[in-house]
This record gives sequence, C-alpha cells and structure tokens, in this order.
Amino acid sequence: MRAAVFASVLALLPLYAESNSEVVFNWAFVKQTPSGDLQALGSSGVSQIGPGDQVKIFLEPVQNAFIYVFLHDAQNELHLLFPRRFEDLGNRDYTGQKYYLPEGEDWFVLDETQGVEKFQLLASAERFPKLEALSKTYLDLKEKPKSPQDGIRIAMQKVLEEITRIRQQHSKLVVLAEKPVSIAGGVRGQNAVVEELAIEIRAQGFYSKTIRLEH
Amino acid sequence: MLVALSFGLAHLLALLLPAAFDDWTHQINDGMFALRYRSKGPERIYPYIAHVDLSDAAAKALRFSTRDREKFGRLLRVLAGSYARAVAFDILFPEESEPRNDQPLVAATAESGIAYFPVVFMKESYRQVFDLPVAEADRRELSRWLWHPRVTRAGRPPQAEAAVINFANLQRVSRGVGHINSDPDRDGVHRRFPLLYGYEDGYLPCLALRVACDYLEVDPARIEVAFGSHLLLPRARFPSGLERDIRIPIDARGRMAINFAGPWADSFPHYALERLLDAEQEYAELDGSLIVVADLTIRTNDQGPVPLDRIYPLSGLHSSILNGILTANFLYSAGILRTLLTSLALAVLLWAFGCALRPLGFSLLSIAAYAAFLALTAGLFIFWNRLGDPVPGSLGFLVALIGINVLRFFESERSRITLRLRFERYFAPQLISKILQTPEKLLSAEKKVLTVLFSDIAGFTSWCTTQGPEQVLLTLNEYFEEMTAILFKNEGTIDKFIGDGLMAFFGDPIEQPDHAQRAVRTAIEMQQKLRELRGEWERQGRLQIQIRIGINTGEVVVGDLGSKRIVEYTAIGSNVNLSQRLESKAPVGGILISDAVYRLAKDSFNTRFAGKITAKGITEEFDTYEVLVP
Repeated sequence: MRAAVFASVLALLPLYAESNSEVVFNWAFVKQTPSGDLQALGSSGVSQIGPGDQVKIFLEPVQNAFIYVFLHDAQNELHLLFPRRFEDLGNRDYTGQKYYLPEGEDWFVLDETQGVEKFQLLASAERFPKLEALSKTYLDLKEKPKSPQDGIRIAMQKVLEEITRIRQQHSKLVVLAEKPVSIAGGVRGQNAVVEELAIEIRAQGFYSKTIRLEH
Repeated sequence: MLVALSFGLAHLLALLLPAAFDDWTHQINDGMFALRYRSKGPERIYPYIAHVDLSDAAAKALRFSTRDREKFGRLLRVLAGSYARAVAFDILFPEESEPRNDQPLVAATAESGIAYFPVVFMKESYRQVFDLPVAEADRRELSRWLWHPRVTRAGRPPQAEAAVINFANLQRVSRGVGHINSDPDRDGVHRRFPLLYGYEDGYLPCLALRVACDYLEVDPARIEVAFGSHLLLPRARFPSGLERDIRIPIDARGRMAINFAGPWADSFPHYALERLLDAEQEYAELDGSLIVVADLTIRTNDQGPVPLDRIYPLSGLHSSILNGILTANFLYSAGILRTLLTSLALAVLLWAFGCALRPLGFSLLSIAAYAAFLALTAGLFIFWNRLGDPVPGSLGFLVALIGINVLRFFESERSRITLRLRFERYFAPQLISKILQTPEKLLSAEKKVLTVLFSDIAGFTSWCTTQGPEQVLLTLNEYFEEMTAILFKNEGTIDKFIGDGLMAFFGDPIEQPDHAQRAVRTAIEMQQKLRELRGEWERQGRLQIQIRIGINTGEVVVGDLGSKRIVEYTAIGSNVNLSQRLESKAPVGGILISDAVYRLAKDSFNTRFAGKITAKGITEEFDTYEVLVP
C-alpha cells in the first residue's frame, strides 16, 4: 500500500515539475510621442522611433520568472537595465513586484545617434549564474576609469555571446503564446497607463525577446 | 655515433619519403583530436554559428529538394526576418530553372543582402568530361568577386582552370561568393582547407573566409598573405566593437589546418529546416547568427571523413573554418625546427642514458623519456594547439634504442666469450657460469683469507737432463692434465704453472667456507693419483716422479694483476710465500701444512706434527704438520 502511494507520488512528480517550471510575467514596452500618445512596442520587426520619442519598460514577475533586460545601443554599448542588482533576483518580494525602467516618472530619451537600439529580454525559471558573473565583470570594468577599452569590449562580447548561447540552449523554434491582459487595481498617472499596455507571457522554462528601435 | 646516425637517417627518410611519413603523422594527430575531445570536450564555439540542414527527414516531410528554389527563398526570408547576419549556402544553383521557381530565391537574396553562394573549381579536363559550358559572362561575373590581397610571400596556392558558378541572376544579387573546394589528404581525410584559390589574376576566398571578412568588416584589399606563414585579417571588428588583427596560420599552399571544435553532433547548433519554414515569427536565437545551409540528403552524399568523425557532412568544414577564425583558435603545424629540436633532445637523452646506465636501466629510462616525449606532443596539441610531427623522432628513437641494445648485447657476448676463454685457464668449468654472472668482481683486487697449495716435482731438474724434450713434455703434460682434473674437481683455482711446479688456491672467486679441507683433500688425491701414474709409467719404462706439496691458509691479495697487455688472475702476499716454503720443506711424496690449515682441517684428515720451521718475513718459528696419505 505504502509502495503504491510512493509510486503514485513519483509518477506525479514530473507533472508537478512541468507545471512548476512555467515562467509567467507581465511586461510592456511603451513609446510616448512628444504629443503624449502612448503606444505599445515589441511586436516582431523594427519599431521606428522619431525625434523626441521616449520609451519605458514595465515588468512584473508573476511566477518563476527571473528576468534580465539588456540594452545594446546604437553606439555599440551594452547596458544592464534589469535587474538593478543581481542580488535583487533572490529577494523574497521580487516576485509580484512591479518594476518600471526607468524608475518613477522618468522615461528613456533616445539620443541623436542614428542606428538600432536592441533591448534584449530573457526570462527563465532558473537564474543564469554565468551570465550574471560575466555581466558583473563587464560592468565593473566599465565603471573603472582606468580599464583598457579592449578589456571592456572583450567582456562585453562575452556577455553578448552568453546571451546567444542561452537562447540557443533553450531554442525550441516553437511559437510562444502572447495575449493582452488587463491589470487590476487603481490607475494613477502615466505608469498606470503603461501597465495597461502590458501583455502576459507564459512559457515553459524560458522566454526571450529582442526589441529593436531604429532611429 | 649510432644515436646520431639513427636520428639522422629517420629525418632523411622523412625528407625523402614525405608521403609515407605524412600518413603516420596524420594518424597520430587524428588520435590527438580524439584525445583532446575526450579530455576537454568541444573546443570554444562561436555561439552565432549555426547550421540549417536539408536532411532526408526534412526533404521527405516538406517534399523539398534543392531544385525547390522557392523554398530556399522562403527560408532566407525567415532567417533575414530573425536578423541573421549571414547565410552561406553550401548548395550550388548552377542553371536557371523556371522563373517562378528561381525568382523567390533571387528576390530574397537581393532584399536580405545576407546570402552567400558557393563556386566550385575544377580542372579544365573535368569540365570537358562533364560537358559543362564556359560562358564568358560567367567568367566576367566571377572576376568581379576576386580578391587582390597583398601577397608578401609567394606560395603554391591551388589554381583554378574552370569554375561552376550559380545562375547569373542569383550570382549578381548575392552578398558574396566563395569556393568550396576542399583538399583532402592522401588518405581521404579532410584536415586542411585552401583559404584562397588562384583564378586569373586574383584569388577567390573560400566561402567561410568570405563570410568572416564581411562579418568582421575586413577590407579584402588590406588582407596580407604570406604563403607558408599566415593570412592576416587586419583590424577585424567584432560586433562588440572589439578590434584586433587575426593572423591565420597557413601552409605554402594557402591551406589552414581546420581546428574541428567537436564531432558533427556536438559542436554547432542545428536548426530544423521544417520548423523554420513553418515559422512566421522572429526567433531571438537567430539574431546576429551566421548560418550554413546545406543539403545533407543521401542523394547528395556531400560527406567525408575528418579527424573526429568518419562520416562528417562537409558543410561542417565551412562552419569549423569560420569558428576557427572568429574565435582565433587555430592549429599550428610543427615547424622543421621544432621537429629537429625535439629529436635532438631525445637523441641527447638516449646518448646520456647509454653512457651512464646499464642495459635494463637504459631501456627503462629511454622508454620513460619516449613516453614523456609523446606526452609532451599530446600536451602541446591539447593545450596549445600545436600539431606535432613525432614520426621522425619516434623512428630515430626506435632504431637507436634497438641498435644500442643489439650492440650492447654483442659487446657483452664478446666480453663474456673472452672472459670465459680466459677463466677456463684458472677455474673449474662448473664455476665459470657462476663467475660470469658477476665478472666485474674479478676485475678488482681484494684481500681475502684463502688456502694456497703449492706442488713441485722432486729432482725435476736433474731428471730433465737425462731425458729427451719430447719425453719431458709428454710426462709433464700427462702429469698436469691429471692434477688439473683433480683441482677442478675440488673447485680449486689454478693460479699458475711454474715449470714443474703448480700453484692453486681455494676460496676464491666463489666463496668456499671449507677451503682448507678442499685443499688438503686435493693434495691427498694428487698424491694418490701420482701413485697410480707411477705404476703405469713403471710398466712403460718411464721415469718415476714424486711430488712435494705445501699448503697454507691466510690473508692474501687476490685479483687481476699485471700490465694492460698481460694480466693474470693471481694471489700474492706473505701467506703465498709461506705455502711455497712449506712445499720446499715437505717430504718427497708428502704433504706439509701450516698450523692455520691444521686448525681448520685436523678433524677431517690424519696428520702428525712435523716440527717447527722458519720462513722469510716471519720472525718466529711456526708449527707444521704432515698429512698422512692413505
């Protein structure tokens, strides 16, 4: 009897693991025109950005979602936009929080440099320690005033290669579900409007997206 | 001399018969690839490189063949839509088909601007055999893609006589073209690839090099080529903005040794063609990727052996070359200098071991040195990408090792034979084998306590004057023959014959605790034998001789004494002289022994006190005893 119960539990474990590895989060990538109009970006292809346009990103980890957002800008610089510190991913209140990039009422304002801004988003049920370590190395080098340019470039290349490697490792070449969702609760100010434009992502284990802004 | 000769001969053979040596070298290096893969796993892989394969399964599922150019056009659009940086087709589209089939591929190629197509070079004779047309337009088109790099050292790059290119409309809009002519070694294994092919007044790069140069924003006019040394891509710029010179090692024919990252199944990612063609979305994992598209269906049979795989799709050569360039992870061939230096080091070690060590130690240490040489060769490959050429060194080592051992064996045998011949004069035959096990013991003098026996024929001088020389020799020879037999039977060592006298000792070179008893027993048997001989000689009317024997035990110096030319194994010292003195004082037909012998042998033989005598060098008189011969 006990063996049968044990066997049943074992048989159910994969199902539990599968359902438990589902990555769920809400996010929005929003453009604000000089006239104040808001527009959700992030569908496939390149989004055109005009002079004076501003962008903002909203993230809300719902379940098993360790989220990383990098910006590879038109000047060939790499920036870690999220998380602010990798330690934050381990915080108890990380899941369920709403994050705005940039924080508060600020918006990203694109400079005059022409080119493509690539926002790279990775979300996974598991953290990526190697990516975090490489990113830390890169960011440390970038902050030090005496760091050699070649060293910074090599470190940046390693981060980019690691992002590609992670994407390849999780590549299934399958269509992932994306659907608009409404956000419950009070609506106040611009951030609330940004939240309204968010979509919910549900993916098994891993999700990645690149958003290109051409200006 | 032998070592130098062996290594010299091995290198001379390697120079004269390179084909035979190359095969061995390749096989060893193939083994190194396998060893490296087993110990370290795949080499560093540039993560943007990937394959899209038209497999048999995909061809069946999609009803797809390389003739379906529309589907390749669709694939190209999907890849471009996912921001792939380059798509290198390892598939030739040589002739035009229907416009509705060709046009989608041509349009996708033109719009995406990321498609590269191959060119196949061949000999003019092949072109004629296969009845391929030579269009002047094709020739002009190909000339447009030629490179004119700065050649700083001339070499022997392959020269194309004829080419098969893609149909004109496609060729015209492609981003670039590159040759796909591999150059397998004699055993059919693909290890090196010509980066450049000479054509008319320029060079056409291989497909991978062409893609790499565009990816790294390298202007072909700035490329420097030194055949037999390197191909330099100056200021290659990576997507991160990193700029660096990439120096690709090449041989005199412009071939790069391919540093295979791993076997086909464990190196670059492969994306399923059928899934990609179904897709209508953008794939983040294809962003910035360099895709090699190939036809892997059985019908094409575009595969061959490589060091890590017996069956390897040859499109993998392009990705492996690309990977080598983009990771700057190259293989470096062993130069002649390195090969000679390692051989020299091995030869010096062999020579030093040969001079300093005995055969067993020499063989063991030499084999250990060779194992270290092989380990060094493997280490240089596994950790520093240095291909080895260990065959001449190995051959030289083997010949030298066998030669030295054979020579040593013959020298040792010759020495043993010489020693045996020499020892047969002194020692009993049954002792010689034992002595030859450690012949070096005899070559040094040492102090030892031995028993020395002297015998002499009484009245020999006056007897000689009455006999003819033949009679003297006959009698003496017969006498010594019998005495020698008795001595050897008792394992005594004959020191010398002095005229009619005889000196022997017991207890050396083989230790004999009962040396005194043996000496006395020998003396008794000698006297008994002489009695018998006298009986015979009496019947024959020959002279009756009698002998005196003296025996003493004491410390003597024993060993090889003499000059370089004449050496005798002998015993010397006052105790030897005392033996002779005892012999001179012994009664005719009797045996006189010293007090020292008496103490050791009195229980075994009948003796009686024979008075005291003096001897030269001994101040006091000493007791003597006569042994009673039964």
